[in-house]
Amino acid sequence: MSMTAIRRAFEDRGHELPGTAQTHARRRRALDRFGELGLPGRRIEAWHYTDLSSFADKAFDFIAPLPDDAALDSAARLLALHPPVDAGTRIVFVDGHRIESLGDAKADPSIEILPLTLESAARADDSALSALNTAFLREGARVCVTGRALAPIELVFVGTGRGFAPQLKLAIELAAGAEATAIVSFIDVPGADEGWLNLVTDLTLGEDSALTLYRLQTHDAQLNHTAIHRASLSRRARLVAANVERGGKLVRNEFEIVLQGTEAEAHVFGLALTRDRQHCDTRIAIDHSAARTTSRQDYRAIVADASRSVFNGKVVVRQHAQHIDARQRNDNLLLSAKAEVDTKPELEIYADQVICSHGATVGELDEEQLFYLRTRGIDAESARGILTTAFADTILERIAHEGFRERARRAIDGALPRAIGIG
Amino acid sequence: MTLLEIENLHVTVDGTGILKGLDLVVRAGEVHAIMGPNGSGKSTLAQVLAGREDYEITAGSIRYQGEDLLEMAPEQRARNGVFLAFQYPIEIPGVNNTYLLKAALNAQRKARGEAEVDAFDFMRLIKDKMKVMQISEEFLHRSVNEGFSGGEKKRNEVLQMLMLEPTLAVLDETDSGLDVDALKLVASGVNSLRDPKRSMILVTHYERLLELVVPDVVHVLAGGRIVKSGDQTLARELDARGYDWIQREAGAG
Amino acid sequence: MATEQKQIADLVKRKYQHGFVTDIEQDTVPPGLDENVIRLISAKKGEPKFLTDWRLKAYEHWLTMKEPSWAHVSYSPIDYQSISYYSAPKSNADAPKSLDEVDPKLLETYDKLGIPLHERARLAGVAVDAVFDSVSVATTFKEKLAEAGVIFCSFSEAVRKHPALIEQYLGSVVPYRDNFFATLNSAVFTDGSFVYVPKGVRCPMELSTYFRINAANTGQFERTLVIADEGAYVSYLEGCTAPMRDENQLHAAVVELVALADAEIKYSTVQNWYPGDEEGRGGIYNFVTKRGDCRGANSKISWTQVETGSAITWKYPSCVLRGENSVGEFYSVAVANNRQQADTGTKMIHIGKNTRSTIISKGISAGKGQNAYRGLVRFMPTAKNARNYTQCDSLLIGDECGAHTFPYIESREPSGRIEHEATTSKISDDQMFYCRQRGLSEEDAVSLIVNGFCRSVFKNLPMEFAVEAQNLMNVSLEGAVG
Repeated sequence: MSMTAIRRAFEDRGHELPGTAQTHARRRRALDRFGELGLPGRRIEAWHYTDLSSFADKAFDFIAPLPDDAALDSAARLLALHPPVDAGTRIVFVDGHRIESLGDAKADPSIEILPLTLESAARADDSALSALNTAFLREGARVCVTGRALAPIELVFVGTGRGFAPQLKLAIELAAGAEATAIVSFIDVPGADEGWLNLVTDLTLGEDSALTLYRLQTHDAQLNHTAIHRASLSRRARLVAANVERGGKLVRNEFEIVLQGTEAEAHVFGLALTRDRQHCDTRIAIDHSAARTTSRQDYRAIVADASRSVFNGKVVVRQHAQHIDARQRNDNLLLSAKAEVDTKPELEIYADQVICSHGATVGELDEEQLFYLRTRGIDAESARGILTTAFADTILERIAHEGFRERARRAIDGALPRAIGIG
Repeated sequence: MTLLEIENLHVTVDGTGILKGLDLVVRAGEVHAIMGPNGSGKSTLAQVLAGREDYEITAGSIRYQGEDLLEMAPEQRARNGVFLAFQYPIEIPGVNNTYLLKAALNAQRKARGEAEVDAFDFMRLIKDKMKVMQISEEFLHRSVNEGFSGGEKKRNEVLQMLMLEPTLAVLDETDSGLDVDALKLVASGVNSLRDPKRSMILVTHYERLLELVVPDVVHVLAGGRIVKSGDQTLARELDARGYDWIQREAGAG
Repeated sequence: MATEQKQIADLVKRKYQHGFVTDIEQDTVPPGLDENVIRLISAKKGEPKFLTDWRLKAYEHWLTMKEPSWAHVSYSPIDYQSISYYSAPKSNADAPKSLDEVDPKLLETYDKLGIPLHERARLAGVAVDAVFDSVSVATTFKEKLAEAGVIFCSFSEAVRKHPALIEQYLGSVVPYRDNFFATLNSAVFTDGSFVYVPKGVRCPMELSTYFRINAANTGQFERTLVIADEGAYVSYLEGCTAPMRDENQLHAAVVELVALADAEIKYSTVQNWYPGDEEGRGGIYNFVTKRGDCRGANSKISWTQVETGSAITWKYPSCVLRGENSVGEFYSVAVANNRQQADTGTKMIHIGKNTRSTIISKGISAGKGQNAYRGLVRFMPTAKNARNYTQCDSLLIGDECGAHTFPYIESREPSGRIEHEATTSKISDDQMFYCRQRGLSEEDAVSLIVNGFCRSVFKNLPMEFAVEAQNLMNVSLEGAVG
């Protein structure tokens, strides 16, 4: 969608978006900012391997109308196939609109769920995609956790396959000592039109709080997806983020985590399975701003067909942030001669009391392991299956929530045989 | 009855000749020890029997149960009862020990037209064998060889052998790197499998294993061929005198 | 930082201010760069037309380019119009007349390096020709090389005597459009080295710029071309272990290596250009493009570098692994002390089947130094069974320095295997304690541990270089602890 077309859409239908005149002025400024920055691409180092400039030629609708009855009906049928994984509150968005009737509210004295509006989301737009998000943001959810949540809160984003490009925002805020798990998933009714979901998630973790964030992305092949998670951790806060990427057309998932308080900890791990012509880019930037902070990154990708998987992990240790323990791993299984893996594990260290390391591998299945299994009587095809599943399991096993782990495993297992060419 | 017949076997690795005309006949129920200095081709023989692809057979034949072994894929050989206990067992992160054993056992049973092993029977069986090899229960939940010590890996190989009950077991230096207790354990595991229908080839550098698992025949492999065969006294002589004399003898002959 | 940069900028200009305009008028081109300057350089050197045209094409292209800004270094803008692009080799009149005139601090360094007295003079740029018989030394080597059929001469001489080889190979590895600094070099390079080793010849000795006549004064835009014909072998050592006296300027060299089938080139560098002082005043901007092309099957190119000098280093000795079974290696030790900045690493481009590459990089940061490893490993879809192993370690000494790692790994070949490992740490207190308990001083303990850290790189250097490199490390890290 060209800038002119985006502006025209804003002028013509911007009034459909919620907010006061003041809000509208803010939207306009954000749109100007987006115009200045342009769609991200190679010229930006953080986008070295992913280019959105082709989006300029696509007709996205950033102001998706409220879903009609037919759309709601198809969404409901899709949701029936994806029941909740636990007993907590479930919030459902359809084409960017929160649909209360499809959700399920459970009482939990520790959790308050508020509507998220532009007025309550004060953070400045530091990137083109967050500016675009501000310009067209309709709504979102703000989850405030004050104690120990009884059950995970689930957020489901449903697309109805009509080429919409909803701009959504989540905020999860944990008060000091609070503990919660959030499960975010993306599903679509298959459709012919190309869509784009642009989601901004702000995570604020107070002292001694702990958040586990699970993400299962099983978009339809026509869906583009960009997500940015901006997290700020106070003293002794702990964030665990597990990501499973299986769907979508062009997918970019980004984490910007700032460890602001001493002894804060961030563990980000994930698994991506890409097939056909999918492009999946994960970027994790962890900023150790305080002393005695810890981070772990462990990402794996199984890359098949003509797909492309990108990983960019970055660890920054600020000067005087001493006693840092930061580790980063990225392992890739490249299954096809038409596929591509690009990985860029970076360290930027300005303090000396650190243990920082990274490792990355790209290759096919290990010949020695295949041979070993075959000498035990397992045929070559099954051996490939076993080793590929094991490769994925190393990540999946670390998902503590059993219900989500099994959901994620099914999503991957169902797609694996064709990816390794034995289905 | 002849189980394995190797004739004039020539094998090269990366263009270098390793085995140069090896002959060996193993009958059902026999235990053969193959000894020899480093680089004589002992491990190559073991790997070739298991079907490793990087080894080029330039001449000769191997018949197993009357069939051409070289024509079989590694998994076919395994299902037909050929088992290799690896000298350096590989680590397979993410693949559970129990899972591997079950998959291997079932692959074998399926090939024989038998039903899959019952989960309960399987657990009972594996726990029995683990007791024999003195392997702790937590092993069941660990990945194949991952984080195992050298001795644990060797014991795991023998455990797999006990589970799969091969017809021809090839043990490639399973005794190396073991302390006395572990060696005894491995030997008792091997001895428990001795059977008139089962044959074994023990590839070893040292004689000490052969004191515990008494072989029917001892061969000396040097320069890619078997240069001398005898009984256990040959092994003892090698232990006392080293390999130089035999290489000289072979060279002179 | 701003004033410091201004000072660097001033130093960059110093040559102009103090220039040779008055001294040797006829051999100096006024500062600035335009087409006429390039024609003049080419004419003065009596170059054939193809070379003049090539320089002009490079210049034209350079005008369309922007100075790169992606490296993890910062410096004030360079004024390319204030640099004088041609000055004939400095006459003896310009050089110090004896060791007495040389900066005593420099002599102290030589002493620590254990460099013999007469060599110290050479390295310090004292006009040695009349004092020591270096000409005859060089001549002896030239004869021995000529016997083997090896051509080893200055680039200018090669242009005159072997124009066909130059025309065939110049720019065939680093094209004139390659990057901002390489393009500038292509337009204005003045001299450098040329090596050709014919088919099947194993060069009978280590070639070193040390023995090259005119080596010390080839200027800031050096151009080196090394060709190993089929089955040939050559080991080339570059750089002296001495700081330059006063060259506070841009050094934008280009090195091209061509290895044909079954050939091997080993290229070792010990770079110790003047790094500037403790406050970051002065020092060289070392913006160098080095690339080797493994053009033939079974060829091998091995880069070993020990980078202890320069205010800023921007340098990525690379290998294009085109030939089947070709091998690329990169062994590097880079030190950034005081206010030095280094952004260095390699590129391994795998094109041919069964190509292999190894990258071992050791970065040491001390003082306020910033040291970055930047590397690219790329497997093209044709690189069946290619292998890469990268080990990239950083050592931090002190809490004001920085150590950074920016690897780019790109694979489009499933049968290939890439493994990358990196660690960043400081010298452990346990290691220090152990050494000191055994009676070593703090400084000796650091030097022992640092040398151990670099061992896997040093062992690839020719013996006498390895000793020098080790001593050099100790000197450059002096004052880094305590």
